[in-house]
Amino acid sequence: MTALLAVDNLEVALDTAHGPARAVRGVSFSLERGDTLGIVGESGCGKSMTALAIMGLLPEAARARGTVSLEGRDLVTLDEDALCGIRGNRIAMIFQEPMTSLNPVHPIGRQIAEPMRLHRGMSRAAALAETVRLLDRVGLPNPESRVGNYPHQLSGGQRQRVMIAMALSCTPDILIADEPTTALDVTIQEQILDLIHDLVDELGMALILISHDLGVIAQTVDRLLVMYGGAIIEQGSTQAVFDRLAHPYSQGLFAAVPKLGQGATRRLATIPGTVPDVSQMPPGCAFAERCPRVLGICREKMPEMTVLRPDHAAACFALGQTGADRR
Amino acid sequence: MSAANGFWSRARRHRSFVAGGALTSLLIATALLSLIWTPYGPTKMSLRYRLKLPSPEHWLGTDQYGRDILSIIMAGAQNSISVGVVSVSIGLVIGVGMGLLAAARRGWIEEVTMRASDFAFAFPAILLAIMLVAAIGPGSVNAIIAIGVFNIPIFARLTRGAAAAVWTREFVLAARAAGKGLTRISVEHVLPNITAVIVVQGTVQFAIAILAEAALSYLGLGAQPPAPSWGRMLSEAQTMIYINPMLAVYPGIAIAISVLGLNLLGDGLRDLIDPRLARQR
Amino acid sequence: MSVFLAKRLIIFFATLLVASLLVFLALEVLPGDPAHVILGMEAPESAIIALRKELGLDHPAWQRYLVWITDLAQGKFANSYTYGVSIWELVRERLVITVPLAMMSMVIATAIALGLGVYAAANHNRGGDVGVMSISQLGIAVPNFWLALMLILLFAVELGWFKSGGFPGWEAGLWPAFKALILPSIALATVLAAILARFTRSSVLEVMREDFVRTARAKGLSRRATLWRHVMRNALIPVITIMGLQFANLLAGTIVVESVFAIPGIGRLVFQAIGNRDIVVVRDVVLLLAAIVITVNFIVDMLYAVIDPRLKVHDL
Repeated sequence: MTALLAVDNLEVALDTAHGPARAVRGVSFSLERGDTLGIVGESGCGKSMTALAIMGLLPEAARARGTVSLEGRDLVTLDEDALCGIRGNRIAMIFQEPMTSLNPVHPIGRQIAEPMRLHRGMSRAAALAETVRLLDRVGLPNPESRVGNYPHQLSGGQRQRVMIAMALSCTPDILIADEPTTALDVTIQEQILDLIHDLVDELGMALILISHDLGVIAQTVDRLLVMYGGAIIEQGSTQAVFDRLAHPYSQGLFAAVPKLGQGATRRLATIPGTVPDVSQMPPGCAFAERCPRVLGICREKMPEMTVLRPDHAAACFALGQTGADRR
Repeated sequence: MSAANGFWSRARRHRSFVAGGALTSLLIATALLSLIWTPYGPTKMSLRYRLKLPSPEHWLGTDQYGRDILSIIMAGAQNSISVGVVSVSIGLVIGVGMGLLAAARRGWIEEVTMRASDFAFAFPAILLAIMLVAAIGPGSVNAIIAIGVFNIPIFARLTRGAAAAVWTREFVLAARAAGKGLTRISVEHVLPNITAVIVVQGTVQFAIAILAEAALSYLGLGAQPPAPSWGRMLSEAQTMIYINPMLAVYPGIAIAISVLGLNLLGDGLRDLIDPRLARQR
Repeated sequence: MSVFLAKRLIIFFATLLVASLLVFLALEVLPGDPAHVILGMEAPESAIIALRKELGLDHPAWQRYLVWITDLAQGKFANSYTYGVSIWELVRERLVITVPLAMMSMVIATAIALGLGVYAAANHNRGGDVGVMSISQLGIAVPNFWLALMLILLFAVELGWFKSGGFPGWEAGLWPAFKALILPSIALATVLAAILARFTRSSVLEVMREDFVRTARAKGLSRRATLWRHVMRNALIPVITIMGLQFANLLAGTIVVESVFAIPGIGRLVFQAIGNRDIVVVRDVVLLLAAIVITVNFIVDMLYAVIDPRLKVHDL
């Protein structure tokens, strides 16, 4: 049975002043209807690039290799017209900045109706009716009067709801949400995440949720990928991964999150060092320089994905060692 | 020094900068050369050699008074450059002073300066220049004054905008906290940081000044005969247009090349100084 | 919205007033006595005194200014000394030439500029972009009166398609009149088109970088659809502002271009009046030009509010 979405060995190379930079390195995963997948990592780890590669919206200076197949059809080699037919229709994406992601000179009703009229050929009246229904479903009060509003008349949270309505207007098979709550107030984040979760359930879609926030990931998705330096370094079901974080980076990430009851006297744990420059990646594991468990071999070879348990795998040479072991 | 080295190596590779620099250098070199030598005296008339076509003796031919065209073109460069340099300098010195003052003092000085320069923007600059020259009489000096005057609000506005941004930065706040006076801060801290922007605008205004001077001269309000001027060459050539049309072509090309060179130079400088702006070009 | 309008109107009139003050002052700066300038140095003393009285020069400057302004507001124009007719007469017969000329130029310039600018932006950093940028650099560098001469050379002298100058008057028929304005409006339009094209291009490029463009593409809109439906309206907003500012330069350009083509328009009137030292004409006509510029800018401001919905709600 063909998977809904199968990403196989995806590579994205960026042209930079210092030569090509591998922003995404050998990323592979698959998605079925109803799956919820999270991609976690710091800024610059390649998670957004992966999403853009799936959508075919990479910037001019980037090139993708590998396979991204939607029910067997490869998207990487697909022509632009066909891709336009898929975007917003079978795969939809919402972005991080609701404040700037909507066109300021068009009313929101028109922007939500646009994909429906484009992909489904709906008439203006039909699209309008559906728009009102969508606005209501995403929790915007007084939807009939809102359709004529301009984006600047809405708050950040409301705009993100509009974005969600827009993305779901053609009932896509896959929703990609790239940091949907990062730019929102903490109180609103919860509401938006719940909304996304409910809608995904209700419409039987697959969800790819991208975030740097472990808390957001933990409560929303069933499976997750941890990315660092463009590669997946740990993956599995959310439960299994959080139960026993295997990769030193994941461990560091989790330790860095401040926890309630920690006490004010303990310093926040951090991972020393910084993310390496994408255009000057070292051979071997990208995390080697910052790793508390680094071994000689880590600097020479890229670690392969090692299966730890049925639904948990990590790419590391130093698995099974505790933090006390140092090279 | 390494910052300067980095600048020059980038500059050498930048197309606009190189092209603009080459053309501008050509302009300056021609003007300098004409100070000591031109094929013939630019004002030397000759009844025998009127309206000659280009030949080995007269590379570009002669005009209706027998004057060698190449010589006038070369000497005209002097006029264009001197008007350009002096008028832009006037506008720059006064305008930058006003802008710095406005940014430093804030309050009503800033308001008045800015309203005034905003207004001067709305007013057609050439019109102002023509009016002024009409009021004080034609001639190179007056053309310089008129063009200089309309440069003042341009530099004032630019300076004030750039300076205001610098005033908000931390090192200026630190200087103020240390008790430094407004003038010292303006000169020591603000000015060096806005110099680049002013230089770029200076090259642009230089180009505009050359065009303005040409227009004034064409109308007879600029350099008076017999002083050579490209603009006046054009108006004299217009009467000959059915007889020897090429007379009108050469001065225009000279003007266009000079202005083009300066514009390209300015564009190049702008890109090199702020690479962020370069991405938008 | 009405507060916005009221504010704008106040600024409009204030600017007009300041313009009149500036024009008045600029001519006050005239060294020498206007009466002498008009009548010449050899005129008899009595004539000078009489003229001074007539011009009101025996009154202090501020009084003269007020009289002038109030007269204008009532539509009373003084007589020109060179032509002996009311300035209004002079202006009227020339406005009907210059205004259509300016409008033709604007239309030509805008059409060319928008087309080229969008084309360049859509072909960013490729051949088309470089080509447009180079041509526009030339367009800016070339003096408009030289271009006018070149146009005359090519189309009138060589090809004989047009006359080399002059204006037959609207009475001669619509087509002959327009024909006489074609070359001049091209000459005027070129610089404006070059500047606008560059500006359109950079404005479009900037808007294409905005997040909502990414959203539009993510919805499945093609590059072209995104450009026309989402980018253009946003990109045009700053372009319209520039057009308003450049209109002033266009008008100033008529002074020179009308001289090249010997077209009896307002620009040429200003120039001739300056040559004739007809101070009164210069003063009034310059103010008129300034008023036109200020009005155009006012209209542009209003247009701005119509196009950008963000401005409807907030006061500026």
